[in-house]
Amino acid sequence: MTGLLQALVTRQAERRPEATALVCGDERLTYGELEAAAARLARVLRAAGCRPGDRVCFLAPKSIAPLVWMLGILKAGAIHVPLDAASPAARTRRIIAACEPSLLLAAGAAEPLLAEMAPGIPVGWLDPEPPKALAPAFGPADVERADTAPLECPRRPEDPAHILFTSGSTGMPKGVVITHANVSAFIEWGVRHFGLNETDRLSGHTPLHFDLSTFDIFGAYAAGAELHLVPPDTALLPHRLAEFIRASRLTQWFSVPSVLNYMAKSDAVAQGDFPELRRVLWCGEVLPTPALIYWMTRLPHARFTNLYGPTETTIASSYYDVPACPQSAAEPIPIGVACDGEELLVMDGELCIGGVGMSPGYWRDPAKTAAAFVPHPVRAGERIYRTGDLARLRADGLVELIGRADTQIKSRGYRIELGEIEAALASIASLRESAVVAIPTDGFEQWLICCAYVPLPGTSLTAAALRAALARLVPAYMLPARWQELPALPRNANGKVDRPRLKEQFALATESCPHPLPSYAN
Amino acid sequence: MPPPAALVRELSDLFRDKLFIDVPSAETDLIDSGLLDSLQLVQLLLQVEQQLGLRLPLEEVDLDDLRSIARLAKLICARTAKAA
Repeated sequence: MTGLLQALVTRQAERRPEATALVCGDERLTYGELEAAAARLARVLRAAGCRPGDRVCFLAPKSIAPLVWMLGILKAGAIHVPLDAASPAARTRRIIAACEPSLLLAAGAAEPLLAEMAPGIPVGWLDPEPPKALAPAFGPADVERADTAPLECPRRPEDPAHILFTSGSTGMPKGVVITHANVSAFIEWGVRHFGLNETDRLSGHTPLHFDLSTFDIFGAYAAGAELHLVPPDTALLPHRLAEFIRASRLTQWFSVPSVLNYMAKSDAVAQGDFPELRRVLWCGEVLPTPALIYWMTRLPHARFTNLYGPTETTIASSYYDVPACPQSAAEPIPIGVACDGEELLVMDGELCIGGVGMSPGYWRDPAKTAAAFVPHPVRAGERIYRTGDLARLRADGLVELIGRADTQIKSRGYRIELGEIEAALASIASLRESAVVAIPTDGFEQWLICCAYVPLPGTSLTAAALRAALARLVPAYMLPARWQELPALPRNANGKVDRPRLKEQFALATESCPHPLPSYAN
Repeated sequence: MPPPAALVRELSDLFRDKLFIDVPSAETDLIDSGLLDSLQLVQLLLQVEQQLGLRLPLEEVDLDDLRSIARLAKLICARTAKAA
């Protein structure tokens, strides 16, 4: 093995070319087909001027095509940057500007977003009919004609494989640079720890711009398993998700906790359901213990593992194999112990992570990199990443999360800096001031984002109009669910916005509005 | 039979005042346009229960019935007729 991620597919294509690699709806692709399609694209990318180390962005709803592109970009020696097809144009444009890609790949439903964005870089349009206003650098016919002979790819494992953009507290998303070696280290651990093999059928639930999808994709490639992409519509209804797991006969389900919670709260899982499901994994936020009890009771045949880790340290850095169904709903679920090659340190209450998953830093942002990636307290020359998560090391040696040191929240698995929402609101002209707070809920989403706002004097601004204006600036998952128009924001003695008071006000208003989902039916 | 205009208006108001979403028209595709995600969907069913007194359990609805205000109005009419 060369240590480059694309080599995982080459190996499967040599060993078992006819084996299914990717499934999405009625569409299937074998390892042989995947390898050939990606090799052809790599040649077209190279011919279009893409050099090793260049960034190539891609924009498409979750389907098989963008997975082929991702692999083609890697084979060309470039760095892939998955863009969120559901994000507003303004935010996506800033991400593109920040990473200065040599090319953008897009198709199908990305057309309106692409038109609105006018990215100003060459676009490879990979559907037969390009949009009217677009003169694509190349199209599917060019890819069809290309040779499948492998390109020379002068890349090393320590070179970047992708850049993933996460919410930034000052309003500008941060690009986390992740190397081939970062991903390989986790994948090797994951394949070994979970015993992934070619009989596995893995879920592909999270979107491709989301770090967790890296495990689904490259875990499947490493094991020669099938990756079953969950269509975005399916994720809206819990019983459709359950039907998907059943129909695809999945052996592994990996999602964010809010999805497990959503399915539990609507009682979508039958006793002994999903007989072939071997593993249920989650990462990205805390899974409420009642939801875990629900799942473990229904699926006594499956293994349950809590994974934990920020994007900056690649997919996950710690794991906790739940040994038995928790006795009480009040029992917290620890994040466990470090994965092989990783290190967890609690320093002044803050959880810090060192080891093989650590990103080289934020894309072209030495100041933010230096603030978050700091020298190792003991080992000279090594670094650790400050997560901002508060944690404690328990007497049994397991680490348990306690909260956050700042105003970052996790809602439905998304990492959201409330500061990014406030920065976007501050750019809306008809607004005098605004503040965003998050309050915990017992709903599946766990946090409710709330916005109090004061329109400019003499202006009328409904919450719906403000929400629509904000939706043009931040992704839908960052939009507040509660809005309150005030004559002025409450302030404390220092003149600062009184956020605790705002939280109380929103909490009171929410109490009178119960959650529609029943608590866990047994 | 098309759903009554009053119900369509009531649902548009509910989207605006309770979910804070201005829906351009009764035919707007709420799913493809990204206006309705899983969180909004749960809120929508809650508001329909609170404002219209009709419980639509999540496990019983089909995504296509929630695709637009017009479709939702049709579903509500059908359910109300069945209950009556």
